[in-house]
Amino acid sequence: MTGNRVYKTKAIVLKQMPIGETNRIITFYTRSFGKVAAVARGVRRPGSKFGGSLEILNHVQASIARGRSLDNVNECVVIESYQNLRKNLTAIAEGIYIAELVDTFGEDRSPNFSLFDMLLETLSNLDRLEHREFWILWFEFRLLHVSGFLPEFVSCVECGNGLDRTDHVFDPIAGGVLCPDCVNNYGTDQSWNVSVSALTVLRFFQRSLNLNLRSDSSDPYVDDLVDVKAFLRTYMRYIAERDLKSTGFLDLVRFKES
Amino acid sequence: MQYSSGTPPVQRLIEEFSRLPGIGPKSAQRLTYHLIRMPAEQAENLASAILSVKTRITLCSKCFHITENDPCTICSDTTRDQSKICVVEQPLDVMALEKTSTYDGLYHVLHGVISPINGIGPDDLKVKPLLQRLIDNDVTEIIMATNPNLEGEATSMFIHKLIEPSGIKITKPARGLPVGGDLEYADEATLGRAIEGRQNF
Ligand SMILES: [Zn+2]
Ligand SMILES: [Zn+2]
Repeated sequence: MTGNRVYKTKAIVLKQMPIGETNRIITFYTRSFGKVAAVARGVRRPGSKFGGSLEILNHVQASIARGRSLDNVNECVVIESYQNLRKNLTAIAEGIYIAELVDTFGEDRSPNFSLFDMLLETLSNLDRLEHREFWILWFEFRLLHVSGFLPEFVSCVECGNGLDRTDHVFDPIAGGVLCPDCVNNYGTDQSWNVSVSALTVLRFFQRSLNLNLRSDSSDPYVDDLVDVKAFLRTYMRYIAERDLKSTGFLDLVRFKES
Repeated sequence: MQYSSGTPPVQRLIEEFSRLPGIGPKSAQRLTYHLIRMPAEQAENLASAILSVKTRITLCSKCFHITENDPCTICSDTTRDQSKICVVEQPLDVMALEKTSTYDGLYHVLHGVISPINGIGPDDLKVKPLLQRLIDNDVTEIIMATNPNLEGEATSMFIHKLIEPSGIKITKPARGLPVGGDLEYADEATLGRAIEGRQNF
C-alpha cells in the first residue's frame, strides 16, 4: 500500500454490517489491495451521499481513507450493479455464496488480481442468468487453484499412474485421487469416493485452467453437475474447516425453484 | 460476564455501556461520568425505566411488535383495517410508519432480515407465524416494507414466493424510498408518500 492517506481502487462489495446509528462496515474485495473493511458513515440515512452504491455485490470504484483503527469510505461510484441477478432470488443467493467464498479465502490487504477478475467474471455470468450452477462450479475450481488448494484429478497423486475411467477414491490429505493400489498404502480415514461423472467435469476444468471458458463451454456438462457439485461442496467444507454460512439459504431457494 | 465484588463500580458501568450497540469505549466513559454527576432521583428513574422495559415489555403474540399488553394496541384496535398486513424488519419500522398516520392496517415484525453470509435464514425470523396468520385470518393485502437493499429485497422476494400461491395481493411501498437507506431514518413525508403510493410486488 502506498503512503497516501486516501487510496482509490476498483472493488466488489462482499458484505455489510450495521454499526452505530447510521453507519455500516463495508467489506470490499478490492483489485489493488485484496480484502478491505471500511466504515461508510451515514449510509443508512436515505439521501446519504452513497445512495445505493454500497449495495452487496456491486462492482464499484471506491475512494477509501486510512483511519487509525478502521478505514473510511470517502466516495463510491457504481460501475456495474448486475440488475438481472438482483431480480432473481436464486441468483442473489448464488452471488452471496460467491461473496462468502471470497470473504473466506481472500486475504486481508493482499491483492490477488486473478481472484478479483474471476469474481467479476462470475458475477457477469450469473447476471446473464444462464447455466449459473456451472459457472459457480468453475469459480470454485479456480478459487482452489488460485489459493493453492487444487488437488490432482488426472493421475494417481501418489504413483503418478494413469487412472481408468471409473469411480475413484479421493483423499484430501494425499491431495488428490488415488489408484486402487495406492489406496491401501496411502489412503486415510478422511477419504471419500468420487464418481466418474464428477471426475469428468473436474478434469475438463483442470484442462481449461489456462483458457477463458465462454458461455458455450458449459453446454456439454450442464446436465451432469450433481456429483461434481457435491464433491466441491465437501472439499470446500474440508478446506474451510466449517460449513459456509450461505449454503443453507442457497440450497433452500434452489430447492424451492426446482 | 460475571463481576466479582471487587470490580470498581465505575469501571463496571463503563464496561456495561460499551456493550451496547453503537457505544464505543469513549462514549461509555462519557455516559458514565455524566451519570455520576446526575441527581440521585434522576438516576433511579433511569434504572427503574430500564428494569420495567425488561419486566413489562414483551412481543405481541400476533404481530411481534414490542408491547406492554398482549395483543398490542395496534392489533387490538378494531377500527384498523384487519385485512391488510404490512411486513417490516423491526419494531422501529412500525414506529416510523405509525408516525406518518397514513396507514390504517396491521403489521408483522420479522425481527431481522435474511442475511445468508451471516447465516441468518427464514427460520431465524418470524416468517412461519406470518404464514399462519394468513391461514387463520381474512387477509387480502400484504405490504412488503423491508429495507430497500439487497438483503431486504431478498427477504421480500422469499416471502413473496411463499405467499404467491395463496392469491393474496402483495404490494411494496412506492419508490421515493431512496435505495440503500434504512426505513427508520426516512422522514415522515417521504415515508407517508411511499406507503400511500405502494405498487404491486
Ligand atoms: Zn497410485
Ligand atoms: Zn400486535
